[in-house]
Amino acid sequence: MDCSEAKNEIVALLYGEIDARTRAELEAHLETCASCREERDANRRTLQLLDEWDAPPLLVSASAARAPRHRRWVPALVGVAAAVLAFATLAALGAEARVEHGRLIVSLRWPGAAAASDPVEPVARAVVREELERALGPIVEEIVEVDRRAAAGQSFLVHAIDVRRSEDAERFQAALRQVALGAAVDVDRTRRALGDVVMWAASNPPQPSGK
Amino acid sequence: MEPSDDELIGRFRGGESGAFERLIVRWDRRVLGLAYRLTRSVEEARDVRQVAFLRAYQALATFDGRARFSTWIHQVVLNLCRDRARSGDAQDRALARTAERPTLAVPTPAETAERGEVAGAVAAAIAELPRAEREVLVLRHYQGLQFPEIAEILGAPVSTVKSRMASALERLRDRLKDLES
Repeated sequence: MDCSEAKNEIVALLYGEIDARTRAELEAHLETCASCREERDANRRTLQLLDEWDAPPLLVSASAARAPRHRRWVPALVGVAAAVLAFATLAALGAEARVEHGRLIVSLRWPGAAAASDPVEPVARAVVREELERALGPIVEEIVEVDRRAAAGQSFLVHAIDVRRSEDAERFQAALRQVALGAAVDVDRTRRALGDVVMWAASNPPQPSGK
Repeated sequence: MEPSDDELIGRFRGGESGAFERLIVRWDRRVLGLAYRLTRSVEEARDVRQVAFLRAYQALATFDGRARFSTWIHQVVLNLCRDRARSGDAQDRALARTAERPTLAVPTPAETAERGEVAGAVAAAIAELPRAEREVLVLRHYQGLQFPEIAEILGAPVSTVKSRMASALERLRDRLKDLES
């Protein structure tokens, strides 16, 4: 392998796109060629510098706004699954839980007749309700929060589209103004040319033909 | 499992309009990234994306599948960026002729580097590369395409693509030497 070939294969080596045979040949060359070794090391440093140039955040967020849509729903789905499980457990226990306006409401249907005469019952009921609300509260909050974020994300997208549309409209208007300006200049020019013709015609009345 | 591009194209041609949206979501970031690296303008990159996807929409109905969608969409974006660069050059020349407006002063890599903006200096140095080398560099380093795929997109032999990459790195090394420390 000569230096010119090595130069190309060094690039392939740095990107890990080199087959075993070519790699062996290149490494044999590098063993004996200081200039190519320097080329490899310098290229490696240059490639590191290239990584400094990131895409602008605007570009990332424009596409990321759509990409994480599925991810955004993952915590919601986990929350919903946990909530469904918890609500099913409550139902099996004879209790009921529901969410109203983002708040968790737990009601307990205690085993009736015997409980009515039990003085401990109201206390036990309050403790259980409190425990349930404490356990389920964060899940409900998470669902509400995710919902709120989803709504905010949607309105951000709508806003971004509106901004883009108004930018396009402005550009279109500017282009129209340019066209109108050009047309006005043309009309003015034509008017002046016609004026010149009229003036010339007035000062050069047609001569009677013939003798 | 995520359907392949070919599958999505097939579904789109079969009348499933959502398949096209999925294709766009999949390619959006890469198309924008490529256009941005080649034009260095978010606004231009968005315009290029819009036209590229519009062309894809029009072309997919008759897409014969001889080329891969990946190759095809990269070629479309490259061509759009080349057209814009050409018309930009023409506008600059026209402006220079009329001399009504001062020519835009684009900072050189060294000037940008002096201000401590490494990223800006790298971007400026890449912008100064010959077009063929810049395209290879962006496709390989920032788009993460392999040399054979770049060769397919550009219609050039793999050895030529590697050689352009080597030249690009050599030029960049020279222009960015002040930043290497």
